[in-house]
Amino acid sequence: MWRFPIALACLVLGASSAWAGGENADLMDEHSEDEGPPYFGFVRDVRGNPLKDAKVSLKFAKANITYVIQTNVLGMYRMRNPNKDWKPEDLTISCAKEGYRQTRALRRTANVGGKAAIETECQMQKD
Amino acid sequence: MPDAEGLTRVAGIRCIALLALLAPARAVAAQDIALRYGMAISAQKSIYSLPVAVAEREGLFRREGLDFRLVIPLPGGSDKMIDALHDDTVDVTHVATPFLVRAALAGSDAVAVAAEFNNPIYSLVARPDIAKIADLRGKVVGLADPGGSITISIRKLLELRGLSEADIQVRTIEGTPARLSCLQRGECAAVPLGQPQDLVAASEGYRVLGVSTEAVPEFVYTVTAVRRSWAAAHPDAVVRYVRALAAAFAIIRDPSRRASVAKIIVETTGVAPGIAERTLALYFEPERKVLPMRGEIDMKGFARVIAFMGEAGQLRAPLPAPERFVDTRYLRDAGVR
Repeated sequence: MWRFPIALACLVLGASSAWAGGENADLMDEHSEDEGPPYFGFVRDVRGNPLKDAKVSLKFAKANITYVIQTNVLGMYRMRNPNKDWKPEDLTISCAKEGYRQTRALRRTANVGGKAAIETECQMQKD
Repeated sequence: MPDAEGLTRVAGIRCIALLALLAPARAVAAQDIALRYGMAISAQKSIYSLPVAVAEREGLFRREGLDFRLVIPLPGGSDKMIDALHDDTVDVTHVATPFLVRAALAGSDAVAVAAEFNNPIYSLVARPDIAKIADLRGKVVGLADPGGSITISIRKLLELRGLSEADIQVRTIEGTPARLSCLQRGECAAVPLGQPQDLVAASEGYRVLGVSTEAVPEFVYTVTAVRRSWAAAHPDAVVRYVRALAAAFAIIRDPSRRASVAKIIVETTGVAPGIAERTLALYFEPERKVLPMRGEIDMKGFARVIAFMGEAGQLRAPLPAPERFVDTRYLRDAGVR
Protein backbone atom coordinates (compact mmCIF):
# COMPACT_ATOMS: atom_id res chain seq x y z
CA MET A 1 0.00 0.00 0.00
CA TRP A 2 2.74 2.42 1.01
CA ARG A 3 4.95 1.92 -1.96
CA PHE A 4 7.20 4.81 -1.30
CA PRO A 5 10.37 3.89 0.45
CA ILE A 6 11.60 6.13 3.14
CA ALA A 7 14.69 6.75 1.06
CA LEU A 8 12.53 8.40 -1.56
CA ALA A 9 10.83 10.44 1.13
CA CYS A 10 14.25 11.57 2.33
CA LEU A 11 15.18 12.47 -1.23
CA VAL A 12 11.94 14.35 -1.63
CA LEU A 13 12.36 16.31 1.57
CA GLY A 14 15.99 16.92 0.84
CA ALA A 15 15.18 18.43 -2.52
CA SER A 16 13.80 21.53 -0.91
CA SER A 17 16.11 23.97 -2.56
CA ALA A 18 14.77 23.09 -5.98
CA TRP A 19 11.25 23.57 -4.82
CA ALA A 20 11.77 26.37 -2.43
CA GLY A 21 12.56 29.85 -3.42
CA GLY A 22 11.14 33.29 -3.33
CA GLU A 23 8.39 33.78 -0.89
CA ASN A 24 7.45 30.13 -0.65
CA ALA A 25 10.76 29.33 0.92
CA ASP A 26 9.54 29.70 4.47
CA LEU A 27 6.95 26.97 4.06
CA MET A 28 8.84 24.69 1.75
CA ASP A 29 12.30 24.59 3.31
CA GLU A 30 13.57 22.06 5.75
CA HIS A 31 11.87 22.32 9.09
CA SER A 32 13.71 23.33 12.21
CA GLU A 33 13.58 21.89 15.69
CA ASP A 34 10.93 24.22 17.05
CA GLU A 35 8.42 23.44 14.35
CA GLY A 36 5.89 20.71 13.97
CA PRO A 37 6.34 17.87 11.48
CA PRO A 38 6.41 18.66 7.77
CA TYR A 39 3.76 17.31 5.42
CA PHE A 40 4.42 15.51 2.20
CA GLY A 41 2.79 12.94 0.01
CA PHE A 42 1.69 11.85 -3.38
CA VAL A 43 -1.37 11.93 -5.58
CA ARG A 44 -1.81 8.99 -7.92
CA ASP A 45 -4.47 7.43 -10.07
CA VAL A 46 -5.86 3.95 -9.37
CA ARG A 47 -3.05 2.40 -11.41
CA GLY A 48 -0.43 4.13 -9.35
CA ASN A 49 0.52 6.71 -11.95
CA PRO A 50 1.54 10.08 -10.50
CA LEU A 51 -0.88 12.94 -11.12
CA LYS A 52 0.77 16.24 -11.86
CA ASP A 53 -0.95 19.55 -11.01
CA ALA A 54 -3.42 17.93 -8.63
CA LYS A 55 -4.46 20.26 -5.81
CA VAL A 56 -3.78 19.09 -2.28
CA SER A 57 -5.68 21.09 0.33
CA LEU A 58 -4.29 21.13 3.85
CA LYS A 59 -6.90 22.69 6.08
CA PHE A 60 -5.91 23.71 9.58
CA ALA A 61 -9.38 24.04 11.03
CA LYS A 62 -8.53 25.84 14.26
CA ALA A 63 -6.65 28.56 12.39
CA ASN A 64 -9.19 28.62 9.55
CA ILE A 65 -6.38 28.52 7.00
CA THR A 66 -6.17 26.24 4.03
CA TYR A 67 -2.98 25.80 2.05
CA VAL A 68 -3.53 24.59 -1.49
CA ILE A 69 -0.48 22.97 -3.05
CA GLN A 70 -0.09 21.67 -6.57
CA THR A 71 1.69 18.40 -7.09
CA ASN A 72 4.76 18.23 -9.27
CA VAL A 73 5.59 15.86 -12.09
CA LEU A 74 6.10 13.06 -9.56
CA GLY A 75 2.61 13.65 -8.21
CA MET A 76 4.29 14.90 -5.05
CA TYR A 77 3.66 17.79 -2.70
CA ARG A 78 5.45 18.91 0.41
CA MET A 79 5.00 21.67 2.94
CA ARG A 80 6.59 22.61 6.20
CA ASN A 81 4.26 22.91 9.16
CA PRO A 82 3.55 26.63 9.22
CA ASN A 83 3.04 26.79 12.97
CA LYS A 84 4.42 24.58 15.69
CA ASP A 85 1.18 24.98 17.65
CA TRP A 86 -0.84 23.47 14.82
CA LYS A 87 -1.20 19.77 15.43
CA PRO A 88 -1.54 17.10 12.73
CA GLU A 89 -4.80 15.96 14.32
CA ASP A 90 -6.31 19.38 13.55
CA LEU A 91 -5.45 18.99 9.90
CA THR A 92 -7.70 17.77 7.12
CA ILE A 93 -6.07 16.78 3.84
CA SER A 94 -7.99 16.37 0.62
CA CYS A 95 -6.98 16.09 -3.01
CA ALA A 96 -8.63 17.27 -6.21
CA LYS A 97 -7.96 17.22 -9.90
CA GLU A 98 -10.28 18.09 -12.73
CA GLY A 99 -11.79 14.98 -14.24
CA TYR A 100 -11.01 12.88 -11.16
CA ARG A 101 -12.58 12.14 -7.81
CA GLN A 102 -10.77 11.18 -4.65
CA THR A 103 -11.31 7.55 -3.73
CA ARG A 104 -8.85 7.24 -0.87
CA ALA A 105 -6.59 9.36 1.32
CA LEU A 106 -4.22 7.46 3.57
CA ARG A 107 -2.16 9.18 6.19
CA ARG A 108 0.65 8.00 8.37
CA THR A 109 3.54 9.34 10.34
CA ALA A 110 6.83 8.69 8.61
CA ASN A 111 10.27 8.82 10.13
CA VAL A 112 12.44 10.93 7.88
CA GLY A 113 16.02 11.36 8.97
CA GLY A 114 15.04 10.72 12.57
CA LYS A 115 12.25 13.26 12.47
CA ALA A 116 8.54 12.74 12.21
CA ALA A 117 6.80 13.75 9.01
CA ILE A 118 3.17 13.39 8.01
CA GLU A 119 2.81 11.48 4.78
CA THR A 120 -0.39 11.26 2.79
CA GLU A 121 -1.25 9.30 -0.31
CA CYS A 122 -4.33 10.27 -2.28
CA GLN A 123 -5.79 7.88 -4.82
CA MET A 124 -7.88 9.41 -7.57
CA GLN A 125 -10.24 7.78 -10.01
CA LYS A 126 -11.29 9.22 -13.37
CA ASP A 127 -14.90 10.42 -13.48
CA MET B 1 -56.03 26.94 38.75
CA PRO B 2 -55.82 27.78 35.06
CA ASP B 3 -58.32 26.03 32.85
CA ALA B 4 -57.45 23.96 29.77
CA GLU B 5 -57.77 26.97 27.47
CA GLY B 6 -55.41 28.94 29.70
CA LEU B 7 -52.84 26.15 29.72
CA THR B 8 -53.02 25.93 25.95
CA ARG B 9 -52.51 29.68 25.69
CA VAL B 10 -49.50 29.58 28.03
CA ALA B 11 -47.99 26.67 26.12
CA GLY B 12 -48.54 28.54 22.86
CA ILE B 13 -46.87 31.68 24.17
CA ARG B 14 -43.89 29.65 25.42
CA CYS B 15 -43.62 27.95 22.07
CA ILE B 16 -43.66 31.28 20.20
CA ALA B 17 -41.07 32.69 22.61
CA LEU B 18 -38.83 29.68 22.05
CA LEU B 19 -39.15 30.00 18.29
CA ALA B 20 -38.36 33.70 18.53
CA LEU B 21 -35.21 32.89 20.50
CA LEU B 22 -34.10 30.29 18.00
CA ALA B 23 -35.02 32.22 14.87
CA PRO B 24 -32.01 34.58 14.60
CA ALA B 25 -29.50 31.76 15.00
CA ARG B 26 -31.28 29.66 12.42
CA ALA B 27 -31.57 32.60 10.06
CA VAL B 28 -27.83 33.35 10.28
CA ALA B 29 -26.91 29.71 9.79
CA ALA B 30 -29.23 29.45 6.80
CA GLN B 31 -27.63 32.51 5.18
CA ASP B 32 -24.01 31.49 5.68
CA ILE B 33 -22.17 31.75 2.39
CA ALA B 34 -18.78 30.11 1.97
CA LEU B 35 -16.17 32.53 0.67
CA ARG B 36 -12.63 31.42 -0.17
CA TYR B 37 -10.29 34.39 0.13
CA GLY B 38 -6.86 34.03 -1.44
CA MET B 39 -3.74 35.52 0.04
CA ALA B 40 -0.11 35.18 -0.97
CA ILE B 41 2.07 33.52 1.64
CA SER B 42 4.20 36.67 1.74
CA ALA B 43 1.17 38.74 2.75
CA GLN B 44 -0.18 36.33 5.34
CA LYS B 45 2.22 37.37 8.08
CA SER B 46 2.61 40.95 6.90
CA ILE B 47 0.82 44.13 7.86
CA TYR B 48 -1.03 43.95 4.55
CA SER B 49 -3.23 41.21 5.93
CA LEU B 50 -4.48 43.55 8.67
CA PRO B 51 -7.90 44.53 7.25
CA VAL B 52 -8.92 40.94 6.65
CA ALA B 53 -7.36 39.73 9.91
CA VAL B 54 -9.37 42.32 11.83
CA ALA B 55 -12.56 41.41 9.97
CA GLU B 56 -12.07 37.75 10.76
CA ARG B 57 -10.99 38.07 14.39
CA GLU B 58 -13.64 40.63 15.22
CA GLY B 59 -16.32 38.35 13.79
CA LEU B 60 -17.29 40.77 11.02
CA PHE B 61 -17.49 38.13 8.31
CA ARG B 62 -19.58 35.93 10.58
CA ARG B 63 -21.86 38.88 11.31
CA GLU B 64 -22.41 39.24 7.57
CA GLY B 65 -23.30 35.57 7.29
CA LEU B 66 -20.06 34.64 5.55
CA ASP B 67 -18.22 31.40 6.15
CA PHE B 68 -14.85 33.04 5.47
CA ARG B 69 -11.97 30.75 4.58
CA LEU B 70 -8.43 31.95 4.15
CA VAL B 71 -6.70 30.06 1.33
CA ILE B 72 -2.99 30.27 0.57
CA PRO B 73 -1.92 28.76 -2.76
CA LEU B 74 1.55 27.14 -2.88
CA PRO B 75 3.80 27.54 -4.72
CA GLY B 76 2.34 30.98 -4.78
CA GLY B 77 3.37 34.56 -4.98
CA SER B 78 1.82 37.92 -5.57
CA ASP B 79 1.82 37.31 -9.30
CA LYS B 80 -0.10 34.04 -8.94
CA MET B 81 -3.16 35.30 -7.11
CA ILE B 82 -5.26 36.08 -10.17
CA ASP B 83 -4.41 32.61 -11.48
CA ALA B 84 -5.91 31.25 -8.25
CA LEU B 85 -9.20 32.95 -9.17
CA HIS B 86 -9.16 31.36 -12.59
CA ASP B 87 -8.30 27.83 -11.51
CA ASP B 88 -11.04 27.94 -8.85
CA THR B 89 -8.67 27.74 -5.91
CA VAL B 90 -10.26 30.89 -4.45
CA ASP B 91 -13.36 33.05 -4.97
CA VAL B 92 -11.87 36.45 -4.13
CA THR B 93 -8.26 37.41 -3.63
CA HIS B 94 -5.91 39.92 -2.15
CA VAL B 95 -3.64 41.24 -4.90
CA ALA B 96 -1.21 44.06 -5.52
CA THR B 97 -2.73 46.41 -8.08
CA PRO B 98 -0.07 46.06 -10.84
CA PHE B 99 -0.61 42.29 -10.94
CA LEU B 100 -4.34 42.78 -11.39
CA VAL B 101 -3.74 45.28 -14.21
CA ARG B 102 -1.25 42.97 -15.88
CA ALA B 103 -3.61 39.98 -15.66
CA ALA B 104 -6.61 41.95 -16.93
CA LEU B 105 -4.66 43.21 -19.92
CA ALA B 106 -3.67 39.61 -20.64
CA GLY B 107 -7.35 38.64 -20.84
CA SER B 108 -8.48 37.99 -17.27
CA ASP B 109 -11.94 39.27 -16.30
CA ALA B 110 -10.69 40.00 -12.77
CA VAL B 111 -11.55 43.41 -11.32
CA ALA B 112 -10.96 45.26 -8.09
CA VAL B 113 -14.01 45.45 -5.83
CA ALA B 114 -12.43 47.13 -2.78
CA ALA B 115 -9.15 48.72 -1.76
CA GLU B 116 -7.21 47.08 1.07
CA PHE B 117 -4.07 49.22 1.36
CA ASN B 118 -3.21 52.56 -0.16
CA ASN B 119 0.00 54.50 -0.24
CA PRO B 120 2.20 51.94 1.53
CA ILE B 121 5.20 53.19 3.43
CA TYR B 122 8.21 51.17 2.34
CA SER B 123 11.46 51.89 4.10
CA LEU B 124 14.74 51.35 2.32
CA VAL B 125 16.66 49.66 5.12
CA ALA B 126 20.42 49.22 4.89
CA ARG B 127 23.25 47.56 6.73
CA PRO B 128 24.61 49.72 9.57
CA ASP B 129 27.72 50.62 7.53
CA ILE B 130 25.64 52.23 4.76
CA ALA B 131 24.99 55.83 5.75
CA LYS B 132 23.08 57.18 2.77
CA ILE B 133 21.46 56.14 -0.49
CA ALA B 134 24.44 57.30 -2.54
CA ASP B 135 26.55 54.70 -0.69
CA LEU B 136 24.53 51.95 -2.39
CA ARG B 137 26.30 52.59 -5.70
CA GLY B 138 27.63 49.28 -7.01
CA LYS B 139 26.11 47.30 -4.15
CA VAL B 140 23.42 44.60 -4.05
CA VAL B 141 19.93 45.90 -3.34
CA GLY B 142 17.18 43.33 -2.88
CA LEU B 143 14.02 44.44 -4.63
CA ALA B 144 10.67 42.76 -5.21
CA ASP B 145 9.03 41.85 -8.52
CA PRO B 146 10.36 44.28 -11.16
CA GLY B 147 6.84 45.28 -12.17
CA GLY B 148 5.44 45.57 -8.67
CA SER B 149 4.72 48.74 -6.75
CA ILE B 150 7.45 48.08 -4.16
CA THR B 151 10.16 48.11 -6.79
CA ILE B 152 8.62 51.01 -8.66
CA SER B 153 8.43 53.05 -5.44
CA ILE B 154 11.99 52.29 -4.39
CA ARG B 155 13.28 53.00 -7.88
CA LYS B 156 11.68 56.44 -7.62
CA LEU B 157 13.26 56.98 -4.21
CA LEU B 158 16.68 56.04 -5.59
CA GLU B 159 16.19 58.42 -8.52
CA LEU B 160 15.18 61.19 -6.14
CA ARG B 161 18.54 60.73 -4.42
CA GLY B 162 20.51 60.57 -7.66
CA LEU B 163 20.82 56.81 -8.27
CA SER B 164 19.40 54.84 -11.17
CA GLU B 165 18.84 51.10 -11.24
CA ALA B 166 21.97 50.83 -13.41
CA ASP B 167 24.01 52.17 -10.50
CA ILE B 168 23.16 49.25 -8.23
CA GLN B 169 23.08 45.46 -8.47
CA VAL B 170 19.44 44.43 -8.27
CA ARG B 171 18.49 41.09 -6.79
CA THR B 172 14.81 40.18 -7.08
CA ILE B 173 13.52 38.78 -3.80
CA GLU B 174 9.79 38.22 -3.25
CA GLY B 175 8.39 38.73 0.21
CA THR B 176 9.42 40.95 3.09
CA PRO B 177 10.74 38.07 5.26
CA ALA B 178 13.03 36.89 2.45
CA ARG B 179 14.33 40.41 1.83
CA LEU B 180 14.94 40.95 5.54
CA SER B 181 16.80 37.66 5.63
CA CYS B 182 19.04 38.78 2.74
CA LEU B 183 19.87 41.94 4.67
CA GLN B 184 20.57 40.04 7.87
CA ARG B 185 22.83 37.57 6.08
CA GLY B 186 24.79 40.52 4.73
CA GLU B 187 24.14 39.51 1.13
CA CYS B 188 22.05 42.61 0.47
CA ALA B 189 23.35 46.08 1.27
CA ALA B 190 19.78 47.35 1.44
CA VAL B 191 16.24 46.13 0.96
CA PRO B 192 12.78 47.68 1.05
CA LEU B 193 10.81 46.60 4.10
CA GLY B 194 7.27 47.36 5.12
CA GLN B 195 5.89 47.61 8.61
CA PRO B 196 6.56 46.24 11.07
CA GLN B 197 9.81 44.68 9.84
CA ASP B 198 11.36 48.09 9.09
CA LEU B 199 10.72 49.23 12.65
CA VAL B 200 12.14 45.99 14.00
CA ALA B 201 15.24 46.30 11.81
CA ALA B 202 15.77 49.92 12.86
CA SER B 203 15.55 48.89 16.50
CA GLU B 204 18.29 46.32 15.80
CA GLY B 205 20.69 48.90 14.40
CA TYR B 206 19.94 48.80 10.68
CA ARG B 207 19.61 52.17 8.99
CA VAL B 208 16.49 53.53 7.31
CA LEU B 209 17.87 55.44 4.31
CA GLY B 210 14.52 56.78 3.19
CA VAL B 211 10.87 55.92 2.77
CA SER B 212 8.95 55.39 -0.44
CA THR B 213 6.38 58.07 0.33
CA GLU B 214 9.10 60.71 -0.03
CA ALA B 215 9.18 59.97 -3.74
CA VAL B 216 5.81 58.54 -4.61
CA PRO B 217 2.40 60.21 -4.60
CA GLU B 218 -0.61 58.36 -3.21
CA PHE B 219 -1.62 55.23 -5.05
CA VAL B 220 -3.75 52.13 -4.61
CA TYR B 221 -1.43 49.41 -3.39
CA THR B 222 -3.50 46.29 -2.77
CA VAL B 223 -7.10 45.49 -3.59
CA THR B 224 -9.57 42.68 -3.29
CA ALA B 225 -10.10 41.25 -6.75
CA VAL B 226 -12.74 38.95 -8.09
CA ARG B 227 -13.66 37.64 -11.50
CA ARG B 228 -16.52 39.64 -13.01
CA SER B 229 -18.25 36.43 -14.01
CA TRP B 230 -18.02 34.97 -10.49
CA ALA B 231 -19.14 38.21 -8.85
CA ALA B 232 -22.11 38.51 -11.20
CA ALA B 233 -23.20 35.04 -10.12
CA HIS B 234 -22.54 35.71 -6.40
CA PRO B 235 -23.29 39.40 -5.84
CA ASP B 236 -24.56 38.84 -2.31
CA ALA B 237 -21.29 37.22 -1.21
CA VAL B 238 -19.25 40.09 -2.62
CA VAL B 239 -21.42 42.77 -1.01
CA ARG B 240 -21.28 41.02 2.37
CA TYR B 241 -17.51 40.74 2.08
CA VAL B 242 -17.15 44.44 1.22
CA ARG B 243 -19.44 45.42 4.09
CA ALA B 244 -17.34 43.38 6.55
CA LEU B 245 -14.13 44.89 5.18
CA ALA B 246 -15.57 48.41 5.57
CA ALA B 247 -16.42 47.63 9.20
CA ALA B 248 -12.85 46.38 9.73
CA PHE B 249 -11.44 49.69 8.54
CA ALA B 250 -13.72 51.50 10.99
CA ILE B 251 -12.31 49.40 13.84
CA ILE B 252 -8.70 49.89 12.73
CA ARG B 253 -9.24 53.65 12.68
CA ASP B 254 -11.07 53.78 16.00
CA PRO B 255 -8.63 55.10 18.66
CA SER B 256 -10.57 53.30 21.37
CA ARG B 257 -9.83 49.98 19.61
CA ARG B 258 -6.13 50.66 19.14
CA ALA B 259 -5.03 48.08 21.72
CA SER B 260 -7.06 45.26 20.20
CA VAL B 261 -5.85 46.13 16.69
CA ALA B 262 -2.24 46.19 17.92
CA LYS B 263 -2.82 42.76 19.44
CA ILE B 264 -3.96 41.43 16.07
CA ILE B 265 -0.80 42.84 14.48
CA VAL B 266 1.28 41.08 17.13
CA GLU B 267 -0.51 37.80 16.51
CA THR B 268 -0.32 37.95 12.72
CA THR B 269 3.18 39.33 12.25
CA GLY B 270 4.88 38.09 15.42
CA VAL B 271 6.34 41.47 16.38
CA ALA B 272 6.54 42.91 19.88
CA PRO B 273 3.54 44.94 21.11
CA GLY B 274 5.56 48.16 21.08
CA ILE B 275 6.39 47.74 17.38
CA ALA B 276 2.72 47.07 16.58
CA GLU B 277 1.69 50.25 18.38
CA ARG B 278 4.38 52.26 16.58
CA THR B 279 3.13 50.90 13.26
CA LEU B 280 -0.37 52.18 13.96
CA ALA B 281 1.03 55.50 15.15
CA LEU B 282 3.01 55.78 11.91
CA TYR B 283 -0.17 55.29 9.89
CA PHE B 284 -2.54 57.51 11.84
CA GLU B 285 -0.56 60.11 13.80
CA PRO B 286 -0.85 62.14 11.65
CA GLU B 287 -3.15 60.53 9.10
CA ARG B 288 -0.98 59.30 6.22
CA LYS B 289 -3.72 57.80 4.08
CA VAL B 290 -2.13 54.36 4.25
CA LEU B 291 -5.51 52.72 4.62
CA PRO B 292 -8.75 53.52 2.84
CA MET B 293 -11.54 54.87 5.01
CA ARG B 294 -13.94 52.03 4.21
CA GLY B 295 -12.46 50.13 1.30
CA GLU B 296 -13.27 52.77 -1.31
CA ILE B 297 -11.11 52.75 -4.43
CA ASP B 298 -9.36 56.00 -5.25
CA MET B 299 -9.45 56.22 -9.05
CA LYS B 300 -6.65 58.80 -9.15
CA GLY B 301 -4.52 56.50 -7.04
CA PHE B 302 -5.36 53.60 -9.33
CA ALA B 303 -4.45 55.71 -12.38
CA ARG B 304 -1.08 56.44 -10.76
CA VAL B 305 -0.33 52.73 -10.58
CA ILE B 306 -1.04 52.48 -14.29
CA ALA B 307 1.19 55.49 -14.90
CA PHE B 308 3.99 53.87 -12.84
CA MET B 309 3.67 50.75 -14.94
CA GLY B 310 3.91 52.89 -18.06
CA GLU B 311 7.03 54.61 -16.74
CA ALA B 312 8.56 51.23 -15.93
CA GLY B 313 7.97 50.05 -19.49
CA GLN B 314 5.37 47.53 -18.41
CA LEU B 315 2.59 49.25 -20.37
CA ARG B 316 2.60 51.09 -23.64
CA ALA B 317 0.77 54.32 -24.41
CA PRO B 318 -2.06 54.99 -24.61
CA LEU B 319 -2.42 53.86 -21.04
CA PRO B 320 -5.73 52.22 -20.11
CA ALA B 321 -8.25 54.00 -17.91
CA PRO B 322 -8.50 52.72 -14.32
CA GLU B 323 -12.24 52.14 -14.68
CA ARG B 324 -11.42 49.16 -16.85
CA PHE B 325 -9.99 47.33 -13.82
CA VAL B 326 -12.54 48.33 -11.19
CA ASP B 327 -16.15 47.48 -10.47
CA THR B 328 -17.60 49.80 -7.84
CA ARG B 329 -21.12 48.36 -7.78
CA TYR B 330 -20.36 46.13 -4.79
CA LEU B 331 -18.95 49.01 -2.77
CA ARG B 332 -22.05 51.00 -3.65
CA ASP B 333 -24.37 48.16 -2.70
CA ALA B 334 -22.49 47.77 0.58
CA GLY B 335 -23.12 51.43 1.35
CA VAL B 336 -19.53 52.59 0.74
CA ARG B 337 -19.11 55.68 -1.40
